[in-house]
Amino acid sequence: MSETKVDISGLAQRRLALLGNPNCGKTALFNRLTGSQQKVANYAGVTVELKRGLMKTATGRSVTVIDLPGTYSLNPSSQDETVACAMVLGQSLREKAPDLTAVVIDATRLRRGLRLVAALKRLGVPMVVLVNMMDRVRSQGREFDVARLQAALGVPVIEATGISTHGTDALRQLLDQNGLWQQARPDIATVRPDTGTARTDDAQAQTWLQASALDQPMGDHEWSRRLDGWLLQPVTGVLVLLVLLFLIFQAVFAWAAWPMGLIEGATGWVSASVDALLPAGLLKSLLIDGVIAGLGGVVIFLPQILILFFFILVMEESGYLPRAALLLDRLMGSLGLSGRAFIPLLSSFACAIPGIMAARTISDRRTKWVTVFIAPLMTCSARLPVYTLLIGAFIPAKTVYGMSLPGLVLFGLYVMGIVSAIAVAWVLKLWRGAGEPVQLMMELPDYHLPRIKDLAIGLWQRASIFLRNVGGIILSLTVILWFLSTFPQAPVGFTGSPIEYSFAGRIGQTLAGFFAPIGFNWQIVVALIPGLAAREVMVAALGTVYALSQTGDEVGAALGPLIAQDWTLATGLSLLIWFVFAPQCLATLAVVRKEMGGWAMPVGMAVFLFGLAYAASWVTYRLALNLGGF
Amino acid sequence: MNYDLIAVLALGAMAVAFVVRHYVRVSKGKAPVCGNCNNCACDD
Repeated sequence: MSETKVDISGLAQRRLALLGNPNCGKTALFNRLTGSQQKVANYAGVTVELKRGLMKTATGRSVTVIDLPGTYSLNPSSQDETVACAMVLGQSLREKAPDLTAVVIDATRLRRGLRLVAALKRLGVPMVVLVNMMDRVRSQGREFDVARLQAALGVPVIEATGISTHGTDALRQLLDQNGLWQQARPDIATVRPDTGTARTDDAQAQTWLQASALDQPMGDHEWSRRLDGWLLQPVTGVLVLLVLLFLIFQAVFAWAAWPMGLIEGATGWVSASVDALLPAGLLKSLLIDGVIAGLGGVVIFLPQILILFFFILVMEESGYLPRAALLLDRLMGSLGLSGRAFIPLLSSFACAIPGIMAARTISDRRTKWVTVFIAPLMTCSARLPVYTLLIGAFIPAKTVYGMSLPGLVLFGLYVMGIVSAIAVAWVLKLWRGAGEPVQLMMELPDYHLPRIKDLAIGLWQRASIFLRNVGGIILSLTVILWFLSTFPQAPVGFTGSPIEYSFAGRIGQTLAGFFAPIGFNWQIVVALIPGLAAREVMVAALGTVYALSQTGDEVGAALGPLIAQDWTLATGLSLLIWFVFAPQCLATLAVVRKEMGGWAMPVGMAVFLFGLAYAASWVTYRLALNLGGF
Repeated sequence: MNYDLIAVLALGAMAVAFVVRHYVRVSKGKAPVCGNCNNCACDD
C-alpha cells in the first residue's frame, strides 16, 4: 500500500464505505476515487481487509473512502465478510461507522446486488447505489434506465465504470450535497444476523427489477461461454492448465537470458570500477565482496520474477483463475479442502503472506487451518532466485525433446511444491479429519482481454517492491553479514581463508556437523541464517560469503560458476529440495501467529516443515551420491 | 586515523539501525510484514 495515499491526516471527517458483492469492482472504483493502486483482479476475494484512502468531492472537500471486502448479505459466513458487515452496521470495535455507504452493484448481476441494497434499506442505513460495469451492459446493446431504478429504490443511483472516470465524477458531485451526509443513522449496532430475512430481501430485489424493467436476464458473453466449454471440461481443462503452467516456466528461462546477461554485465562493470577506484582495504572489501557481490547476485533474478508475474497477472486479469479453482474443486474436496482454498493457495505462489491472509475467506476453521498450514509449500517468488541460481549452476542448459532442461526442472520444482502440499493436506485430513464440506460458490466473471495499463502497473509494483527490498533489508543484512564474515580478522600466519576465522565462519563450522548428513558445507549454513529473513537473502549471503572466500584474482566472479566448482551435484540437489520444504521465512510464521491467534501453530508448522526439509534433503543427497557417485 | 575502518563502521551502524527500525516498525504494525505485496493493510 502506498502509505502517502492512505488517509492518516484525520482531516476528512466524512466517511464513505464501499460495500458490494465480491468481484463487483469495488477496489477498481476505490483506486479511481482515491488515486490508490490497490490490487485488483478479475475474481472474488481479493480484498480481505478494509482499506482506507482519501478522495476529493467536486468542490474539493475531503472524504475518507473505505474499501470493504465483498459480501453477499449482511449475514456474514467468513471472517472477511464479518469485517465488512460489522463496519457498515456500526458494530466494529476498531472503526467508527461510515456516515454514508456506497453500495456497488454489478450491472450484469443486478439481482444479487439489489438483495444487499434491500437488506441495508430494511435497516435504514444511509446509502447511495453505484451501478458498476455499465460498459458491459452497453456493449450488449441493452437499455438501462438509471432514473427508473432510482425511482424504484428511493435512493440516489449513479452509473459507473470502475476502469474509467465514467461515474466517479458524478459521485464526486453527488457527495457535495450536504443532505446526504446529514441522514440520521438508525440504531443498528445490536442487529444480529437473521437468515430468515434473505427471502424477503430477494423478493424486494425482484420487485425493484420489475419496476425498473430490468428483470430480463443478461445474455451470456458468447466468447466466455465458448471458451468455458473447453476450459471447464475436466479433461481438456486440466490439460490446458498444465500446458499453460509448463509454457510459463519455459518462458521464465528462455525470455530472461538476455536481460539477465545485461544485469550481470552491469554488475561486473560496477565491481571493476570500484576495484579500480578504491585502494585495497576494508571499505573496498565491504563494497565489492559485501554490497556488490551480495546485491548483484539477487538483482540478476528480477527479469525472471517479472516474466513469471506477467503471466500470473494475465491469468488474473483475464478471468481464467476462478475457472482453475472450479476445476480443482473436486480434487481439493478429496483432500479435506474446498475450492475456496484455491485463491489463498494461488496467492501463495507470489508470497505465502497474502495467501495466508486470504484464507480468511474460508468459513470452516479446520479447512482454514489446513490451508494456512500448506500455503508455505506453494512456490513463492522469493524461491525463484534460489532455484534459478542452483539450476543454472548444476543443470546443463540442454534442450530435451525441444524443451529447455532448466525450464523443465523449474516446472518440476513448482509441481513438487504443489504435490507436497497435496500430500501434507491428505495426511492432515487423516490425522484431524476432514473439515465440514463447503460448497464452492464462486463467480465466474466474463473473460476480459487484460488491459496493458493494469499489467504495466502490476509489473511496476512488483519490480519496485523487489528493488525496495534489495535496497533496504537485503542490503542491510548483507552489510551485517560482511562484518560477521570479516571480523575478527585472521592473525598473521593463519592458514586457510580469513573468513573461516570470522564470527560467521565459526558459527557456520559449529553448525556444519548437523547439516553434513544432507551435504551442506559451512558456507551454506552461514547463508541459511540470514536467509530466514527472506529466502532471496540467502542468495545475497552466499554471494558475500563466497566473495570473501576467494583470493584476489577471483574477486567479481559470478556466484553460479563458483558454487558449481565448490559443491557436488548431490549438494546442489539437496539444497534445491531443502528450499521446496523449509519455511525459510520468519515473516510467514509471524503472520500465521497473527491469523491463527497463537504461537502453537507457527511453532508446530516450523518444526514439521524443517523436519520434512531435512528428511527430503537427506534422501535426495544419499540417492544422488549412490546413483551417480558425484 | 584509520578512515577506512571508520567508513565501514559507519556503514555497519547504519545497516544495524535500518534492520532494527524495520523490525520495530513491523512489530508496531507500521510497516508491511514482508514487503512482498501492498495488500496487508499494515496501517490498521
